[in-house]
Amino acid sequence: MNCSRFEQMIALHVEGDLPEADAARLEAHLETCAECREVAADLRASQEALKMLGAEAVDEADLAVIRRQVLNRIGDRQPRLSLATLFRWAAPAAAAAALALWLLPDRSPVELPRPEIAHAPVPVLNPPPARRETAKPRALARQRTRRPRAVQAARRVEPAGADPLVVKLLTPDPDVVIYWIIEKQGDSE
Amino acid sequence: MPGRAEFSLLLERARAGDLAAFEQIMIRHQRQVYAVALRLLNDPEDARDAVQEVFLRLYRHLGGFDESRDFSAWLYRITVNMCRDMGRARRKHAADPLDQESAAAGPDPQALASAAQRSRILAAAIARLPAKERAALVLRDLEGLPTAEVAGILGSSEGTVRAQISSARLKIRKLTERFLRGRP
Repeated sequence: MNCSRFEQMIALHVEGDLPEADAARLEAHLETCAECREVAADLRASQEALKMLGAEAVDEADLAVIRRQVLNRIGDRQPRLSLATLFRWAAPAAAAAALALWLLPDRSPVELPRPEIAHAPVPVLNPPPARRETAKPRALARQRTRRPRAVQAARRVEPAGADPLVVKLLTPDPDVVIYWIIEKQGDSE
Repeated sequence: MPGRAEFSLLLERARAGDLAAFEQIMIRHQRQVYAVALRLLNDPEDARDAVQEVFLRLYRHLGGFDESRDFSAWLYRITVNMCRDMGRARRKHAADPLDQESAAAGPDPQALASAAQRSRILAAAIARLPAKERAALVLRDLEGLPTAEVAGILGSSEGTVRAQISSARLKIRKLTERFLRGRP
């Protein structure tokens, strides 16, 4: 009898993995073979030891650390702002911005005139030439300061000793025109 | 174990990015993953790394999981594959675990009587098995899965798995006799 073939069967039989027909044949052999019975006993003992190994306790603290590390790594890989969160907040934010734009006054770049520098009273006898003369300083100012055209000034100077001085300031908004009226006081001017 | 409907809800929440739900899934399965990883890799540090990688892989692929299949078997498959990949990278530099254990224990077999030493010898004996036999043995004998399920996880036939576990059990028996009982 070739017992090495039975060893393979014994290794399955000790855990009930052998088909019934083979199991019956093996049981018959074990009744007559002391050597195979010893193999079976050894296998049962080593299988018991294996199962004790499988039942060893796992440290719960270790598992908690592993869970935390996994969650941290997932968090690192996820975008900080999820699309769902973005869409949840985007619509109210856009509505609020539109409302604010509608309620707030026009913040277009209109600067208050600074008559002592840019619009110093220059006597103009003839209005058309005056427009050409004021164009040059305005162009220079734009180059130096890189600001948009804020104020376009035109002046009408009346002869001394007559009516008050009136300065007309044009702004980028065609609906806004600023008149600057200077009263002449006494003889000191 | 939770009911199927409850677990299905957890899966759905985890797929939607709910990390608390994913943590619940980890809590329910991490002992299983850690135990298999520890026996396949025979190193607690490597096993902890493997568990992390398994759950990260699980999280990435949750969306592709077919709920008509067995989640636990799917997770076993991910674990076995992850440990196989890690084991390949590690084995190039690893010494024979049984040689290390026997050298640490000394020449006297009686010195191996303590439970801790017996466990280490057994674990080293498992680690010495060929990868496929080791996986089959761990799933069948330590995890207690039926042969058919082990075959499904490993992508083998039941006959192949039977041959693998039979061979593995005989090797374990011989190694334990040699190292625990002092037989030649």
